Amino acid sequence: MKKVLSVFLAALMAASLAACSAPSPAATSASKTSAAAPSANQPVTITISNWLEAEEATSAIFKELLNDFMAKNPDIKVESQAIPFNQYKDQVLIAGTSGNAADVIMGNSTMMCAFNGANILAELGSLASKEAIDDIYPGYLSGTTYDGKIKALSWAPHPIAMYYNKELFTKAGLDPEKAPATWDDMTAAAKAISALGKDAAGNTLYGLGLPTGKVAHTGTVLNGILYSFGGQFVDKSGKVALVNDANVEALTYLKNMANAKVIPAGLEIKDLRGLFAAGQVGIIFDGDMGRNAFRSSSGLDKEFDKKMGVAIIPAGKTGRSETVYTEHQLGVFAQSKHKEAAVKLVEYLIGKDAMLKYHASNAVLSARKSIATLPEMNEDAFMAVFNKQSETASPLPATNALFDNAMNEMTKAEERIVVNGEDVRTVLTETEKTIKTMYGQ
Amino acid sequence: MYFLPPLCNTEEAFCMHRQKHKINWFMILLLVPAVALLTITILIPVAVVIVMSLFRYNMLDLAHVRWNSFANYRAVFGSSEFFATFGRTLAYVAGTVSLQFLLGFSVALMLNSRALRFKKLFRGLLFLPWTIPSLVVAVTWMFIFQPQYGIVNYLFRLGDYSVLGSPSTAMLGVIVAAVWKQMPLMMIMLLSGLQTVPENLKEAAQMDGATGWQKFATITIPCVMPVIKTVTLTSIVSNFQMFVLFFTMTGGGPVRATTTLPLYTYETAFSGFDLGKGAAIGVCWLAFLVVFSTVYNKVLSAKEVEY
Repeated sequence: MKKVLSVFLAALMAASLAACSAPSPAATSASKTSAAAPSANQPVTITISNWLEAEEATSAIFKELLNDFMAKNPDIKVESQAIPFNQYKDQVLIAGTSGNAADVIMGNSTMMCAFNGANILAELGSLASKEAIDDIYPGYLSGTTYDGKIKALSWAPHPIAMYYNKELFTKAGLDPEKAPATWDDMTAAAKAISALGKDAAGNTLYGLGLPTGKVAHTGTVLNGILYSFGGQFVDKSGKVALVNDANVEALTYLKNMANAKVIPAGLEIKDLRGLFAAGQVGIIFDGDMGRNAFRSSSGLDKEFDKKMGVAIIPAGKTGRSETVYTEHQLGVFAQSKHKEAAVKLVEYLIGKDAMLKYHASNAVLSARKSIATLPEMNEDAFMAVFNKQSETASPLPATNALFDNAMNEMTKAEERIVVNGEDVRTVLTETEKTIKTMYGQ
Repeated sequence: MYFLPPLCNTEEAFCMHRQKHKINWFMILLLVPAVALLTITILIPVAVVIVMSLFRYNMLDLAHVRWNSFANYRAVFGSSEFFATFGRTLAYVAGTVSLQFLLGFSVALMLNSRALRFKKLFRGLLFLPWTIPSLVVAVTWMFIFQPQYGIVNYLFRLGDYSVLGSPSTAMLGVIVAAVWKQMPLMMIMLLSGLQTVPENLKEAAQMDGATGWQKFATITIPCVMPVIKTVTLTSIVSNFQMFVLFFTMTGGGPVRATTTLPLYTYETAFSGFDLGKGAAIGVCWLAFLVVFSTVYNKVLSAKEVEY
């Protein structure tokens, strides 16, 4: 009896193993069906992976844009694959490498370089219209070009600019209508604000809110700070080159400012947004989406706009406003059976009608010169500043599939310097070695 | 010489033998779903991970998976980061389980006391943290430890000191959150164990002049040892796999002070795209837990008694 039972159970386990490994006939036929060319009368169905539909702030407008596209293109049906942001890169990567990604793939700079590294993006140079490609700002186009090939089109760029608290400026004896124009002016203003000490509720006031810890985004923002000091992440040949005097000066600046309690140490941008909205930080670097975050965190909604000013990043050692941008990009799956329809959707989404609607709803910018300069896209001083910032914003040096990991290493380096007080040059040397090993350099 | 029982003949003996060894198909049928589920959800994934750990399995190049002669294991054991992470994990597990056990047992003893009134109310209230999802616990404790407006800084007059932002206290912050969440289960299990300790034994010991501590050490502890063994081992294994609290509260920082094995595996596999090396880390940790559980069970089983 025991032997029979054991044999039976072992056979059952083996059968389960076999059942799990074999593809199901339904799945096989479904994939064959989707690969089959549609008949002349049936609309083509394409899919678009995104996180916009999974987020409250963007879900409605995104669905509206897709509906508008389908109304104008009755022969194309679009299905949205909404994936939460935190899981997006991993899920799309796994889907893409196993041949199941959506026809249109949305991503940001760090994600797209990973997707490009996995060879799941189609080359758009020959698929997209010349008119659309030539209309994109060179800085934004370079951020979607890998080894000379255009792998995505820039959709909603978010250059990082400077916000400042007018009330704290007034209290510190500074002119609230005059934003600092140089890095030295900004440092002096920040120190004056932190010298105020505490607010009425006993909370510490900080002069400058720069992220110095926790997440990879901190590392991406650090790139902009390095550029302001004349530093770099990679050299002209694309090799990681962190150990230089400019980078040392930039990180020493952050360390000294944190030690002097002008910058709160070890925080990420989410923490800093909360502090800025609460009136505890005088100056913060953030993208255009920061305004919505401040409005909702403060509970004041649009009333908060009266308390803040916005300006381009002050000029640093290079004499110009240096910053980086993050952006949403749209690419096409390399194995898509409907590339033409997919490119049509991409061009619609970055086109005038969609961008004007998206801008009206969420104040996004356009990467296209003809659209970014329209009066509707510059309806107030806020948008005018960000469009101005676009002119000097540099793409992230996201040329390697492991760029996100590299930015995590940069964040750890910042934490070691700012939080742990370690020697700047030593940390930079070790970080450069780690990233070079990661990149295979 | 074998003698059959007086009332049995050869044919009857043969029938009894057949009945004894008759296949109970109904019993087998009842076992099928459980075995299938265990196979699909545990055995197969474990087997897949072990196989993955022996191959070059990069998420960026899934078309070229190949045997790499244990290179993943060489990379894992050749990296000081693995040992540092293992050490941090052991520190976290030891701290969390010890604190949970001490607190849980103390509370269980109080709840088991005849002198305490409103036991059911206290039991219900004390069990509440266990019902809260780990993600919510993590976010709640992030707010509690928030330097600018968190209650911990206010109560302990810490000023702007960031418990979760400082390498020396970040791990302690996560341990506190973990103990708060998991202590109720430890308490309930130990309470149920305490309620099975025979009262007559304690009375007899009392009459023999045993002190409270002697009764506790020689009667109570041995009687509840099976429960202690089970509940602490479960806690050790589950805390070894703690991901949500670390990922949400600290992200493994600051400066890797709270990067434990689950986070390290996640970073290696999904951020570093190296599924093979991630699988190798998982296999090392599985092997450690299997050996540890075996030894732990043996040691504590020796201390069990049955009265």
